[in-house]
Amino acid sequence: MKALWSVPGLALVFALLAGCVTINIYFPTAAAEEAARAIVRDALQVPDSEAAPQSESGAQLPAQPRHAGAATGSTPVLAWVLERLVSPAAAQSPDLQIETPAINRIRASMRERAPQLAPHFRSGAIGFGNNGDVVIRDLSEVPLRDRSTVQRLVSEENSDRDSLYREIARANDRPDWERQIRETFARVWVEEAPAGYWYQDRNGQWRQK
Amino acid sequence: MHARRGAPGGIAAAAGLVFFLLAGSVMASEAASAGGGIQLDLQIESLLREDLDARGLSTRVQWTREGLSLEIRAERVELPAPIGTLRRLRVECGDLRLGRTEVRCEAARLWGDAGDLDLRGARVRLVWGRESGQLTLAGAWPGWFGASGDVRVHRDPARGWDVRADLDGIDLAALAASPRLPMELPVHLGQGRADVALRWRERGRSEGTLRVHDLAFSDDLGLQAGEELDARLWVAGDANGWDVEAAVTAGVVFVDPWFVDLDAEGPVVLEARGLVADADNGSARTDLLSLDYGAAAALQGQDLAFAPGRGLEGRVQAEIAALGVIYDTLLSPWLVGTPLGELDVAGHLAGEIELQDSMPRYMRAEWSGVEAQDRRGRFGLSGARGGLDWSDTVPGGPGRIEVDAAHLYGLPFDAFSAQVRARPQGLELLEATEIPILDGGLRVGAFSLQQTETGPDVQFQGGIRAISLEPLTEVLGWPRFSGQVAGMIPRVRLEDGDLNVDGRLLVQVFDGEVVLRDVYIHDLFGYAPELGLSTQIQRLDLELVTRAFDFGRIQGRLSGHVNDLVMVDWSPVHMDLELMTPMDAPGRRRISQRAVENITELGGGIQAAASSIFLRFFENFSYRRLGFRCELRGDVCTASGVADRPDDGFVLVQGGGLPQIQVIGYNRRVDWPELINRLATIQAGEGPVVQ
Repeated sequence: MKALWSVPGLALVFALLAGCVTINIYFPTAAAEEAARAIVRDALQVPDSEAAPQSESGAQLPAQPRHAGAATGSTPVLAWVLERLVSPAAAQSPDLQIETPAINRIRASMRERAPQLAPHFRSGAIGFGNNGDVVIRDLSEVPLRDRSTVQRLVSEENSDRDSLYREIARANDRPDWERQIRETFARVWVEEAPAGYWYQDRNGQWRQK
Repeated sequence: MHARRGAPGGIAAAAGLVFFLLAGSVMASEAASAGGGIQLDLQIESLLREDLDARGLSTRVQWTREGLSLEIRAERVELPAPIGTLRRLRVECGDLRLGRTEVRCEAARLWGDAGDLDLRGARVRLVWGRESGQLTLAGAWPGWFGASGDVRVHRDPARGWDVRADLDGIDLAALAASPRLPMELPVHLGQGRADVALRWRERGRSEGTLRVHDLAFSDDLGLQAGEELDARLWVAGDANGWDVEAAVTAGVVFVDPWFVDLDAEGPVVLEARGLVADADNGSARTDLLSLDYGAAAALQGQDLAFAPGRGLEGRVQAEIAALGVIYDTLLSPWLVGTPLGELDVAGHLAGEIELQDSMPRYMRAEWSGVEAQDRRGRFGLSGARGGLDWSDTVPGGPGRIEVDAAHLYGLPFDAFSAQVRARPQGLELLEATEIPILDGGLRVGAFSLQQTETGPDVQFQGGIRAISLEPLTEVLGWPRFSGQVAGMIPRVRLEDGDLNVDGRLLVQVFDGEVVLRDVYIHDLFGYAPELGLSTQIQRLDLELVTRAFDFGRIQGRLSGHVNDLVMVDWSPVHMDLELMTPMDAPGRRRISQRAVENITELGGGIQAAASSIFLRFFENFSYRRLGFRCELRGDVCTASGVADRPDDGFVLVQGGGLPQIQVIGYNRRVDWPELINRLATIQAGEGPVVQ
């Protein structure tokens, strides 16, 4: 019983010592930026050779499964062969989780759409909005019959992006991070965009990279 | 002055000027004595009226043997918009005839410069009844905006103005670029020609026809644009009401996000009868309004009225003969990104809406032959028909919903019908029904859907009438096994977009029982639908299990649980699994050599304590206990068995009797997708790799 007593007692003493302590879990800005960069490069199909080195605090991005230590000498042949065949699980300890089936699906969908969007980014028909979405900039040069297709692609892409930002927040059990994730992405989309692409500045004015 | 009311101000002012000068010349000529040629010059520095400012006026009247001629000049005349400033205005009449009752000039000519438009000797016929007060001006159109034709302006003091114009080939791009247009167009006109036939009467019935050919327009961003458009507009009526027929008959239009190919869909025709519009307060009403969208849809509105403060009121009937066309062109661009954004649709819908304050007050709809198939294969229904009515204040009358067949992720629903009633904010089921699923079904005892301030509120009570697992597993593409699933569902809740199923579902399978509870579904139609549940598993017969999965042969029972199973996109990403030989009444326990090999195969890093050569001497082994625990987090399963060993291994199969076999795992971190792949490989019949 004495031991039980001591727990709240200790807590009280610590609380008094520490005064008013607020514990905040801060938005992992660097990790989010790294995660966004990886996803954005993937979605824009930027070649890996152009990828910038990752910061140390960054999220661990989809890594090759890391093999655990080799089988010991005492392992029978059968099991040893099987161990080589079945890779042990990859270790993951990212600061920001971006590896979930939902996120992977969304990324695959965005990747698939990228070649269709690219010519319209290049022509300036569409550009990166300052809110992390794709925005129609000027459809005048797109043949009339193709405009609804462009509009559909943009709507689908934005729907995917909305889902992506929401799912990343959700995957990290922080739905309240969605806004910050969106802001991070909005910045990174522009940073990673190839030259010639259009983007909106903070005031919503169009600029070309 | 009276004549100016209702007539365009510029015309009235110009006419006033002409009257004034004519009157002056008539008086001057009458005052002159007859005989040889007389010339009278009248110079006026300026002439000011409320809507007229003329400077440098001069009138010259010549009276010769040939007759009377008149010339009026003005250096500058300011007239109200849209005429504006006229410079070097000159009116010449070489054959002025002054009768007792009328003044007539059959071949007057006009010169003037209004900046963008000018007159260069345009021929005009002019007749003025001195007693009747009637005035007629007629002439050929001076070629402005590329058009040709005739214009006639007539004014009768009793009947007011009467204007006729027949113009062909108006260059719409030039007209749109003209600063004289009273409003700024929201779009640029690239090209297009128009023909106009107009008869406008100040008092009496007027009529006008406008035909537009090959029109192209676009706004700055190309979000509203049209090409190769042909259209016609017919307007007829008077102050008591107008009849309007407007049709766009050919071409393509894109109005973000909609694209309509009129050549493919047929013309869009709008007709209004008895249209009365009040420009002052922006209100309008019409006795009858109809809108046809090719052969696909037709709308009819009766007694529609619009007023800025009160919104739209009236009754609209709709007949949609081709739901597919309407979905493809009008609905799907709007539904992109939602679960209903990628459908193949067909069917027929008829309905009626009563509007008040632009809001529906009453609706009735009947539909038949409705097909809707999701292109991503998530859901579909066919042969849907029914009828429903809805009011915003009281529950509607009994309606019905009937479906011939439907599916959800491949789970088939057979024909069912339901008696339902629309409520102001939702829908409720009037009597219990059952949706057949294979040999069983989903019993729906009560169902209601209510839109609340916090989102939709779903009430559901029902259950599952035993469905055999054999056909179920077959249609879902799972390994086939027999058994059945049944259960009670006392309640279904919708919270934060999650569908929570209260109650327990009992799956009777492999001679044992699996109880499902805490079932929820998140984002059912999203990229990665999430299904969560927990199960209690009791006394599965392993012999039936291994036979179903073609896994070798294991005799014995298996009990355990799966807690907090979360499946995303139908693959588990989280669970705490435990399956063990039950402590009480474990029964006969034998495991075949092939099953041992398969277990070995499944979990890489598992060590069979007996060598593979030794194993081959025996077909079966008896065991004391077997079991598997897995804490799945993401793709990683942290595995353990019935017991741990000092060498960090864990026992999956603990042998009993002789020859004794132990199956020991060493790899505690197992890659789950790989494990499933291997299970699939074993099932596909490929034997284990034995060296």
